[in-house]
Amino acid sequence: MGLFSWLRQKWSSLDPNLMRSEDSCPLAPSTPPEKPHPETIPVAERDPPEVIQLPIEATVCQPEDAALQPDRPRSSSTPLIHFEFIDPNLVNLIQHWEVLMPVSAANLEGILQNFVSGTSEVQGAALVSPDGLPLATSLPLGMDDERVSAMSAAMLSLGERIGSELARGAIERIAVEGDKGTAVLTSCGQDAVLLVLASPSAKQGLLLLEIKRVLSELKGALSH
Amino acid sequence: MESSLRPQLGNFSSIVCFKSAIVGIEDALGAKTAAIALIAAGRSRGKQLATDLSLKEAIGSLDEVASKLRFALGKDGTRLCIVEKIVQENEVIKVYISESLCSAGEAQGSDRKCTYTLGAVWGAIEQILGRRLQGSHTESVLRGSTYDVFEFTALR
Repeated sequence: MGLFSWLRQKWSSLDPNLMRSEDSCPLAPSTPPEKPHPETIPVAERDPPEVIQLPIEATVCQPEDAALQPDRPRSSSTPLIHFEFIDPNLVNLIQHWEVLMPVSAANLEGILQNFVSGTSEVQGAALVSPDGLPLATSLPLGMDDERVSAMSAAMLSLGERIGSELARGAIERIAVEGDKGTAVLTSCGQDAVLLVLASPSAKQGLLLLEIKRVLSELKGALSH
Repeated sequence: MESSLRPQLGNFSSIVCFKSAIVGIEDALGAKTAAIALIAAGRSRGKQLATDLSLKEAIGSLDEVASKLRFALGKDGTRLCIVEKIVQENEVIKVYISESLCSAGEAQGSDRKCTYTLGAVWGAIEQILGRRLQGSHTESVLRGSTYDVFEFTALR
């Protein structure tokens, strides 16, 4: 699992007590943290590892902080979260990352881009509203995201209609298989439809597993 | 106005035929699928219209947008509908429409919603304002309102 995916999974249960001020984030909460920063605790005295407390320290900055890094695109309403990653033994600070939270088009797009780039057989993906508007897309060059979105929503809707007319019950997914690859459409809750494009060499079982994984990630992001 | 597309019959066709096509599509594909397709078709048409008429460059206010769309879609244009007015209330842009193609010939109390007309206005306004919008048909002449009202909010 990529660092980005891992971060997103952890975000959903992030302990707010871990939020702390830091110099680079003057608008961060001014209340002193209840717990000392893990780096300041001798290794021997550190608490036993807990899944959430172990790897992440986070600081929430307000949108005005965008001025600190003017080259970084973000919407005016999106807070910036600083994350510091600490290795599983709480010994070394290994990376400092920033992620735009909470849910925004950029956030959803990040999940999709991570999914497409991290899964070798996946060529593109799009998250679409049920009425056919693009929510986030990571599609191959030359594909019109608006057209793909309308088509995807219409296809899933048509599938549901077929399922109903032909007494096939609730539709889980629709797959279109061609000699140049596969397109899989999956409902992503009430609010979205996920389209995934895969190469002809993609193994169906693995592909469906990957789709299931990214679906839960997307559903989590959409529910925030 | 473009030149006549047919030598004898001209550019206009009956609403009855167009609505039969819509009803037939709905029957075959389901109302939801048909609505998605018709809204998408309308948006595409609206964007094209705004581009063809260079509306983006010419617009200074929502009143001006309404005036241009009234001309392009109304009696002197394609006769899709009459754009009565466009107002902005907080974050919401409201477009008031009368004589829309989608509501024509429908019985009072019908639950029919505008799809193609909504899409056409939607696409034109998106193109003019240069913003992505979320649109919906919120009031209908078929359900007691004076106008069909389309509401648009910025898509986040």
